[in-house]
Order: sequence, then C-alpha cells, then structure tokens
Amino acid sequence: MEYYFRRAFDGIKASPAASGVAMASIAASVLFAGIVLLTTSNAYRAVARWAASGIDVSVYFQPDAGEKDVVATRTRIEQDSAIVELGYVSQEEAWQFLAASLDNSAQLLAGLTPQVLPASLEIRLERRLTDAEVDARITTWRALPGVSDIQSSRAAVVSGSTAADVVRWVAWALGALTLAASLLVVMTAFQLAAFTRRDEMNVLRLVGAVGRGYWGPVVLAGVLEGVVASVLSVGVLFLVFEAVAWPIRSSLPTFASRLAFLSASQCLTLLLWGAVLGGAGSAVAMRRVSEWR
Amino acid sequence: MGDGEFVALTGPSGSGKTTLFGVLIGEVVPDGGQVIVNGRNLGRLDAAGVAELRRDLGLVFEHPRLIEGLSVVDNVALAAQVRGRGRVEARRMAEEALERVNLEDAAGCFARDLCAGEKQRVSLARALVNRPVLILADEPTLGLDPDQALYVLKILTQACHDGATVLMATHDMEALAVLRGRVLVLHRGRLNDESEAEQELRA
Repeated sequence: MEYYFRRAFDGIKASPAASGVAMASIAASVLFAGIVLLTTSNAYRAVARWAASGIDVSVYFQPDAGEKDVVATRTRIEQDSAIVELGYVSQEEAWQFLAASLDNSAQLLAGLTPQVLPASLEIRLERRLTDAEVDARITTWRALPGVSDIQSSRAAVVSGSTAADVVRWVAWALGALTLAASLLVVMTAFQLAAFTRRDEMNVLRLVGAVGRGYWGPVVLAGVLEGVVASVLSVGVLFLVFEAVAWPIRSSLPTFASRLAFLSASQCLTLLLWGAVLGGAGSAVAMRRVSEWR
Repeated sequence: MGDGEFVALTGPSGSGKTTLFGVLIGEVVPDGGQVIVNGRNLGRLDAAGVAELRRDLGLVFEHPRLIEGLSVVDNVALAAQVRGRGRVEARRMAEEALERVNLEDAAGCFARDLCAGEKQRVSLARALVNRPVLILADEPTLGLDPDQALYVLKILTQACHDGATVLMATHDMEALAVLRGRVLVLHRGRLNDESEAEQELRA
C-alpha cells in the first residue's frame, strides 16, 4: 500500500501542471454538479412542502352571521374525519393578519374598519382527497348556517404536485447532463495528463512495473486528486451559498427559513463523485496511453 | 553469453542492435526463433512474466529515460520499489547505487537539472540498484563527452567484475578499444564471425 501511495504522490509531484489541470476539471465538474444539486433540492423542497401541506379551505361567514351560526357550522364541519386542522379567524384577527402582511403599506387600510373583512373557518384537509371529494364537501358546507362563500387551494395543491414532479424530472435531466459533461471534460483532462506522463509510464514499464503495480498508483493519484478537488468545490459552494443566502435571510426571513445547504449525505455523494471521476478518468486515460505505445 | 561475461555488440547504424535489445526485453516480438534471457523463454512469457524479467535486469539506454520531475534518488529508488522494497530500504539502496556512480551529492536534485552525462549515470545507478545478474546497455555512451563516456564504461566494467553479465551495444570505437571482452558484430540483422570481426576491430 505504501508503494501505491508513494508512487501516486510522486506522480502528482512529477507533473504538477497536468495534475492541476485534472484537478481543476474535476473541481469544475463537482462544483457544477453541486450547484445543480443545491438549486434543485431547494426548489424541490419548497415546492414539495407547498404541495404536501394539505388542501386549505376557507369557509367565509356572512357579515351578519351570529355566534350561534358559527358554532353550529363549526360543530358540523368538525365531524369530518378528513380534517387535519381547523381554526376560527374573527374579523378582527383577519384585519390584523392583513395589516401584518401589508407590512410597510399598512397605511392603505386607513379609513377602513375590521368589519369589511369576513370572519372565517380556516380548514386544512388531507392532501389525498380528490377533486370530487373536496367539491362534495364544499357543496355541503355552503348550505350550512351563516356561510357566504368557500374557497379551496385544491387546484394550487395539484399544481404544486405537478411542479414538484417537474422539478424532480428537471433535476434528473440536469443531473444526467452534468454526468455526461463531467465525464467528457474529466476524461479529456486526464487524457492530457496521461499524455504528459507517458514518459513516466514508459519508465515504469521499463523497470518492470506491471498490473496493479503499474496502473494502481496512477488510478490512486486520480482518486486523490478527485477527493481534494471535490472537497475544495464543496467548500467553495458553501461559501457561495452563504454569500447568496445571507441577504435573503435578512430581507426575506420566511423564505430564507426554507433555504438549506446540501445535506451530509449529499456532500459525501459529491466527494464520492469526485473520487470516481478521478479514478475512472485515470483508468481510461491509462488505457489510451497504453494504446499509444 | 556466459555468466559474468562482458560482451560488446557493435555494427553500423541500422544493423539491428537496438531491435535486438528490444527483443531481449520483450518490447519487440521477433518474427521467429527462440529468445532466452536469464534462462526464461520470452515467447512463453505473458505481460506479467515479461515485467518480472525486466525487474531482474539492469537496463541502460541511449536516452536515460528518467522521470524528469522526480529527484535523482527517487528515480533510482523506483526500480527497487517496483521489486517490492519498502520506501526506506529502496532509498538506502538507491543512495548506495548513486555512490557507485559517484553521484551521491546529486541525490536530492531533480533529474531535469542534470547534464546528459549525469543523467546517464543516474540511469546506470537505476540499472544497478537491484544488483542484477544481467545488464543490457544500449549505446550508453552515445552523445557523452569522452570523460563521461569513459566513466560510464568504468561503471559497467566494475559491475561485471562484481559478478554481473553485461551486454553493451555500441558503435563507439573508442569505447570498444578500452573494453576487455568479447566483441560481436551485427550486420543487417546477422552476427558476423566473431574471430574475424574481432581481428578487424583490433586492427
């Protein structure tokens, strides 16, 4: 093992420029793969969370609906087993939510009173319900005492699911594209590296290195270069992510809470990907060099 | 060739000296016949067998074939490492071999920083590091100044005195003049009659 590592380090030392080019190509490939992974995983997380949160239904009451109507309607709706959450929002609470959401533009509400907004029951139904099941409920609830209107997020949830599927497919497509492009770039770079090291290869052959003794150190050098390059890439990606996320966190805290860097397993996958690129690149290049002989 | 013998192989350019060396180390496959080196029939060896044979030989070429980006001692130690020696032992053996070619002071230098004669001596040290029983040297003095060429010949002669069998191809007449040993003349791929050739050369 010592021989392999020694020869691998010697090989890198002996042709620093070629090793540098190979490492740069791996670093670029891993960085690109990391950007794709980071972007799509955040996009997927955002869309999937939105789609997976359930179907929101708002049951609005008429302005003159009394407490008796509200209680009767609530009691009736609460009996539905598909309800995940149910809450009552009074006219005053609705007003406060609206004012809070307008933030710096709250002056737009000047001259208005809370009575312009209807009280409502905010319901979250299980996501599994079909259009027909949601529609049936809406029809039934519309007839309950004091109810003026009902709105549902069913269409948005369906769109969210579709969007999540689209994001997933885009991620796969970009991933495959990244894979192919990376392999092409890295193979070319390693071929160049191997070409510059062909004299070294010939010397090794001359002194009787064969089999693993011949290609082992070169492949190991590729793996080491791949690991170092991918560690650097993940580090750079983290710094770039923090640089982008920092202003978002300070200006859009709600949105920023959904932003996350790659998980440990994703980082490990990128390191592994770098190592595989390096090893495979070396092996293929060695094969080519052998054919050139 | 007998054990411990020093044989010089000469002949005009294109006579087949380098091709013969290529055949002897398994780089060139002969059209016919049997090639037996160190008791092993090359025709029956696979790639691993040829590599094993090369590990047992000391090889010196017209071009030193060093790894330019490695230090002198690492270049020499490489041959010992390939034979399974540990790093420390390989380095010790390399330093000893460098002493034999009087280059111990250059051990830490990069091969690319050496002059042609020094590079050839490093190549000799690499050939000697495993104390091979057979040394094949193809035009080892070509392109060297007379002093360096003489030094290379002295090292090869010394290796022969130490028990190695040496086959050296050269068309350097000055080199042939100082060598003691059999001289074979190759002409168009065939060996001439030894006695006639030797008389001709001595004359």
